[in-house]
Amino acid sequence: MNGVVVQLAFMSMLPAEAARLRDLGIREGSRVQILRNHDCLVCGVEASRVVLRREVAQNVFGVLQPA
Amino acid sequence: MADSATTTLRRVALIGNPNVGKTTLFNLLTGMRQKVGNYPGVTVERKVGRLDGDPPIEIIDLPGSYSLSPKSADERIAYDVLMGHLPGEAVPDLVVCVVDASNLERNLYLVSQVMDTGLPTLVALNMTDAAEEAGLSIDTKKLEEELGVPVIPMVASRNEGVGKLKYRMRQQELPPTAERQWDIMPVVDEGLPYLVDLLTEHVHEEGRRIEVLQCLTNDAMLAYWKDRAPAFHAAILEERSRLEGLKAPYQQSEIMGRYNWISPVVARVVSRSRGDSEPTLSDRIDAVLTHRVAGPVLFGLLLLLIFQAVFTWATPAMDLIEAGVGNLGDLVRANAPASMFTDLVVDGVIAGVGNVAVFLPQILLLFFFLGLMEDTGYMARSAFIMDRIMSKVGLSGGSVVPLLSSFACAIPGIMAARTLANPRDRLITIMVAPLMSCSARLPVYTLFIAAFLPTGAVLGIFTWQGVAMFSMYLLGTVMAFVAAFVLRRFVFTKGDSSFFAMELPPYRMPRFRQIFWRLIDRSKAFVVRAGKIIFGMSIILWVLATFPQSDAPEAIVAEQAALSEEKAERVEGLVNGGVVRAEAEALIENEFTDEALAIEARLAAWQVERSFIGRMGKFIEPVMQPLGFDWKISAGIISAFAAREVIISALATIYSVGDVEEDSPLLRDQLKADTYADGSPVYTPLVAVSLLVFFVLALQCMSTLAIARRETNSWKWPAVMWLYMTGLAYLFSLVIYQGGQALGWG
Repeated sequence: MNGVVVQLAFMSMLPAEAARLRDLGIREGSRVQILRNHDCLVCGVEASRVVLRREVAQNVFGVLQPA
Repeated sequence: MADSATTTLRRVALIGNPNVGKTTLFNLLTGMRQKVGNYPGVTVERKVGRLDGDPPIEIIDLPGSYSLSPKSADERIAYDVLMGHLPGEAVPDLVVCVVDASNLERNLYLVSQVMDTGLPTLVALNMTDAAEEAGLSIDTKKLEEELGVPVIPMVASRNEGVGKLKYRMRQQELPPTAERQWDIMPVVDEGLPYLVDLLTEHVHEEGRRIEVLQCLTNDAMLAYWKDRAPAFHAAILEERSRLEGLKAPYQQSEIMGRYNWISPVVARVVSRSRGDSEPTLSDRIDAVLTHRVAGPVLFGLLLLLIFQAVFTWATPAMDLIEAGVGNLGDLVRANAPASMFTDLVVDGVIAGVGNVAVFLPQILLLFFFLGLMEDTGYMARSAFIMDRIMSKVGLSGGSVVPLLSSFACAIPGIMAARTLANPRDRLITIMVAPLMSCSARLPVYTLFIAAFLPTGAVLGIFTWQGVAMFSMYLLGTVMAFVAAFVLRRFVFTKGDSSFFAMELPPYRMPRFRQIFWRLIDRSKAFVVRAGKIIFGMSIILWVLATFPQSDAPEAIVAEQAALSEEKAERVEGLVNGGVVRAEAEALIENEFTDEALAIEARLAAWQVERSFIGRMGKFIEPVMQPLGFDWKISAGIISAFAAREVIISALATIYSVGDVEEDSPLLRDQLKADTYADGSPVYTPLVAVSLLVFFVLALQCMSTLAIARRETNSWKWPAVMWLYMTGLAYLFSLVIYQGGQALGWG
């Protein structure tokens, strides 16, 4: 799964948590690249790197983009 | 604060996301002309500086914020300053949005919000070099046209473009207020005019709309208006109900509307020469440093190295200060007339303050390493590395940064917990932060480890004393985790703590200039603290150790009289034998020095034992004796409840006043030489370990309690904190001392 690009569609979590993710650039419509996927997920959002705990990442849904 | 409100200087606020180089720019603009304080009523740091020139400008460094939809106290301050919500804090004349050029889309979100406040805005497009390295080319002219505000490209770390920014900041004519160019979803938009009108008397015209949008989605923001504009408060609640009834996703409406405008703007001004998939240098470093197995191991090794270095590298400087303190005391004693005031200066002030000042090199080294971790970006990684372990105790990796900051001091650690969005995680972090070994414990650790624990090498690079120092830090850390687990499991049982998300800033070369200035700030704070608290406490302790002055016991008086008589007889004998009287007196005085000193020492010890501090120590000695502590250590512990390092001053004063026999001015030598009446040593390695563990676990810091009270808004949690930590300290020291004795290690 490392290296894949996902276009985010929706987030299923508390509004305050979703708002924090949106602040970090993890938001509906953004393109996110999965860089590492272990206990935490390391995502590339533009040039920034955002780390999400796996349980958080499991509530963020998106569409896989073609390579 | 009032001075800034009434100032005639142009006021410019710097705002930006975290890690965009805002502080670097602030330092470049203001140099050393900075003032750091707090915003009124909150503990958020207020940094203000002055840009000299014509005209001079006051620059305010606002806390790093991802948006003007605040989720923490820091972000709230940034919003309140721009909106003029802070009493005594005038609205800035100009806002400079510092933007990371390599992360334009997300950064422009904050810019679009700032533009909506109606304040004249400039964009400082920073880190253009990083953008180029990432294969991004930005048409700044076009960006300026699209946004409708001036855009100044720059690389603040290389001082490029800063001159142009200064020029624009000084121009008489401020940039015009930008037009709003984004639209919100119609269902939300139709309710806005009525709500905006309700703020007519309270907010300037341009800022009303953004205020309404924030209140619509943020309870904390709405609470501000509950008493100030009750009609507005009620109308917002009604509007929320209306939108919820329509199932309108109004919580996302602002973000969707803004990005619907920003994303096409970015697409038009940015061209990419590289794809998404190429890993950066930071990614490659992270592959090793944050590896799931290697990461925690390397993190542990790094901490071990830091504490080893703190213990060994500081030694030459400490020896120098120690010698200086001893010489200063001797110098004063030799040149000042013998009096109670001289005793106060030498035994109280010089011994008390000097023995704490000795530890400044170690504290600076610790701050240097923490600054290095922060500046390179490794501190943020530690949160990521530790998240797996933190999740086991019911916290998130977000708590790691406040806990690591507590190695310097629990106060910034407790304050840093404000960045945690989850109130329960925040409270648990505050409750356990004081268990992390702060710099005030360092003098205590060093004194007792150096005096009573063995030297010798471990694995060639470490020493036993360095390992012992690391063990103290490890014990505090492990206990913090255990306490967090217990609090999460049995006290704060409600709620979910699975949320953890944070940005990893790119690695960068440490900026030693900034670290150096931070060290200067820290050392100033330490010296001022030593100069105020420790100085004051040293005088109080000297008074407590000197008074009340008791009449000497008959036995000692008789001994003194007998000695004087014997000396007089011997002098007469020599004079009768033909020796000059003065010479005879000097000879006999010299011959009887040891006996005289021994009697004086017994008298001084007898006196200090009956002084106020002696009585206090004696009073609690029965409770502390099971831990191996005599009345002197007990008295030191009582005084250390004001601040931990005061025990050093207390012991230095007690031994300086009460031990005239010990030649060495060094406290550790005096401790080593101290014995009970039966001749057995007061301090054994077991007593030292018991005392060290007591200091690892006990909460002996008034300032920590005060800040915990302020952050939790109640005395309940500071009281619980003090009780559980003191209880833990007593229990662990008891088990160690009694267990050690049972095993024959006493």
